[in-house]
Amino acid sequence: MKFALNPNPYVRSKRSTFKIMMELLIGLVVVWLSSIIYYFVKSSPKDGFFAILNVVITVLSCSLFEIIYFIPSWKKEAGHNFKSLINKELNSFGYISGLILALLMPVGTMWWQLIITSFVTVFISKMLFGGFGYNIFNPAIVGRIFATICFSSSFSYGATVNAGSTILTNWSAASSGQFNPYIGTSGWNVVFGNYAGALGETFTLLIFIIGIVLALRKVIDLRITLSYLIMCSLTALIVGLMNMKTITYDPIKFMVLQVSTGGIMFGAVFCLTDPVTSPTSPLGKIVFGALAGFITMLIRFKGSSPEGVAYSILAVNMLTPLIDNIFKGTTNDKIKVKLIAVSALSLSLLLVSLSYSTKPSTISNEKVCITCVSDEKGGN
Amino acid sequence: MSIFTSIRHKHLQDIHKTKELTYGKEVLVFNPKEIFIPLVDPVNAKPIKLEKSIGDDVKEGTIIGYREDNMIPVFATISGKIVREELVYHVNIGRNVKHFVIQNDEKYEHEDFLPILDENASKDEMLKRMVDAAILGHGGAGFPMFIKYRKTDGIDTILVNAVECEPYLSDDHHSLLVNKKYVVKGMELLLKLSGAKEAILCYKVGNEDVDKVYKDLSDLNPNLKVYKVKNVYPSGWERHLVKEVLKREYNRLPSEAHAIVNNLESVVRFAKAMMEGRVITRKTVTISGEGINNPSNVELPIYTKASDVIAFLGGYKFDEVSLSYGGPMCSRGVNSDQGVFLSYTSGLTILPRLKVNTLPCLRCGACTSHCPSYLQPVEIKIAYQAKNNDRMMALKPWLCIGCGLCSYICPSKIDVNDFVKKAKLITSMKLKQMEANKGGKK
Repeated sequence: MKFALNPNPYVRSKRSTFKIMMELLIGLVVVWLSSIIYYFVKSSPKDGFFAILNVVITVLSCSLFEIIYFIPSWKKEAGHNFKSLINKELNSFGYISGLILALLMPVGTMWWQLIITSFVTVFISKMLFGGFGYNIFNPAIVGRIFATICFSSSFSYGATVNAGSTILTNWSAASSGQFNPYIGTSGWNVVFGNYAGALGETFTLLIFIIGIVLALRKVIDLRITLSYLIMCSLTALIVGLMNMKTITYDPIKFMVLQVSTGGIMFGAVFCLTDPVTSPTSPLGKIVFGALAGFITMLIRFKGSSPEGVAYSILAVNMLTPLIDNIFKGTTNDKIKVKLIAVSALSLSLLLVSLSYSTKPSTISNEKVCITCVSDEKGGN
Repeated sequence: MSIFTSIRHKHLQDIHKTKELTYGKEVLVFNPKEIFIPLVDPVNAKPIKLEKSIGDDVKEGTIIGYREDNMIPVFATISGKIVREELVYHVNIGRNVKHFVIQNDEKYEHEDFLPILDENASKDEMLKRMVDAAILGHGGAGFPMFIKYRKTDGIDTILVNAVECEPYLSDDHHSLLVNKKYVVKGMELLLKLSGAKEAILCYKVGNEDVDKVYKDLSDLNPNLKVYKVKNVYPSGWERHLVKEVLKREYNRLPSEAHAIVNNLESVVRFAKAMMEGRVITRKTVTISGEGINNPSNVELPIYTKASDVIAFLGGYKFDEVSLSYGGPMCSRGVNSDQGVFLSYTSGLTILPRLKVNTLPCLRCGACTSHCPSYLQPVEIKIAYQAKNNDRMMALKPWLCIGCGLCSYICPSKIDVNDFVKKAKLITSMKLKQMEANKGGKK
């Protein structure tokens, strides 16, 4: 008779990391499918075809680069076979980073750009740090920023310029910075995602609903998502209120449009909530989200480059160890003091955001006017 | 508040299925050929003071010796002859210690019962009875019960803990169904003893059969009440129970929250000792799990070897099993089925070997947001692996109660609880050292 001496408990939850990741994958695939439908219906079949092809290329190359990374250690294993290699890859989740990356890229991206970006995503920003669970930065975001820096010109003025550039790239990378050609007739298009942009970023409402479902299934942590969205909305609301004269929409609508455009919703649901790169303590998660929201809006209104969401996610990823360090100890330790400190921090961040609007000249008309232009065009 | 800290509990998946294995089944009676009485105090591993020696004839209830620290007697639990001394594995101490072996003479003679005490007995008499009948906290810690009742100033509530939040165990459930007379009487006696205003019987919501039995509890005595706790783990933990039932929190002992928490088993034992003069010799334990043929509740003499009962029930189902004395969540596994049932062992869980696919930590924080002690197990694990002692001290792992919820919930199937326990060991030693240093300086 043999007695297993593994540590207690001897019953375990049926929920596994693999299942969590598969649920996340399903959420991402829903976004992908809706973007395929959008490009087939609203754009040309060619764009729809690229919407499929881009994702396939990225996911395959991400998996492949991970497998290449695994091969040396796999060969040293006793009794290694092809199945164990595939198993390693399945439990490393490079394909999910790949799918997120693909959804962050516009359809007009070239295949070789996707492959190079995939290499940066999984090989450099993930596997070199130690693989799944050890990466410091969100791999997909690193890839996206790499692509923006290296290939931004072809993003904006590529072959399929109309369908192929994100709102935010055009916002300020192109000096004109006009939202209007993409937004169409009414603000609702922005909420429903009825405009061209990065493959998966545009479907704000859909992504939000997926986020709620995933949060209920305990796949993502709503603390991060909500604190991020609230911070972004409040900042946008303050800016809107301070610039009542220059924007024709009321501040509430301005706020909704700000939060709906660009990658804010996608980042809030799929990128920022990546558990590996976010703090573990509940209060830390809230601070993490709020800081990210602050930095996003800071870059949006004051920065010279687009990608506010992506840069802010990288910035707070760097702050994660610091946040974990601040909230070390038991979670209920001096909880009142901590709560006061966190609310004071959030409030002061919002107060700083007032400064976005104190010098109206620096918020160029185009930047705030995103909505007025579309309004004129729509004529409602 | 749980948004900012931890929700502190979790509904265990399939817990009802695990309990169904033994619910409603007939209780089997088992009398072994030999029983093994450990000759050491299970708390501090000191030898007990012997009254009997090898060759003596004993009856059920004969005093073999006394525990040194508080004179709690150790009883022979079956009639027969002390035939030899043997080194046998002891579960609590974790190594082989000396045991008396009593051979069953199949006569089942009982020593004279203690004199019957009624509710007019004085406080000292009752406390003495608790010692004489060797009534311990039967929840699993084996803390002598009389200590809780020595000082009862300011106590207003007695909580009777029949929650049984561990999977598989069902002996308390069974006891609730058959021992109503003793439960009611025991609660009344404890009210009298402590001077508290009310006694609350706590069990899990969803036990309709128990509901039927205790429907009229408040009619029998207006000071007795029933409270149904949520079906979550670890709702049977003292601190959790006091928080949920009385909405009070405390630092060290429940008496700070004006409450005394007793296990159901202890209350029933106390009532039996008072009303009938019985000492603890026999006990109903749950022997359950997927790893054994015919899981059941078994009534047996205390100090029966686990291997004897398992053979009685039809043996193991698998070649390799995990065996734990108690529930599967917080009892440590042992590598021997030679250990005996002590008076506070509530059961035996036999499960097939746990096969999990461990992945790297996801840092999802599920352990942090469920820890009943508000700890951050994932941070403790990281600090332990990095051998960062300062960080470990800041994370206070000594507050861990070893409930195992962090390992249970971990989606990457990491033995988080094991890391926390190791860190707890290191930090509590450091803590003691620091305190000693402080004392020295003064």
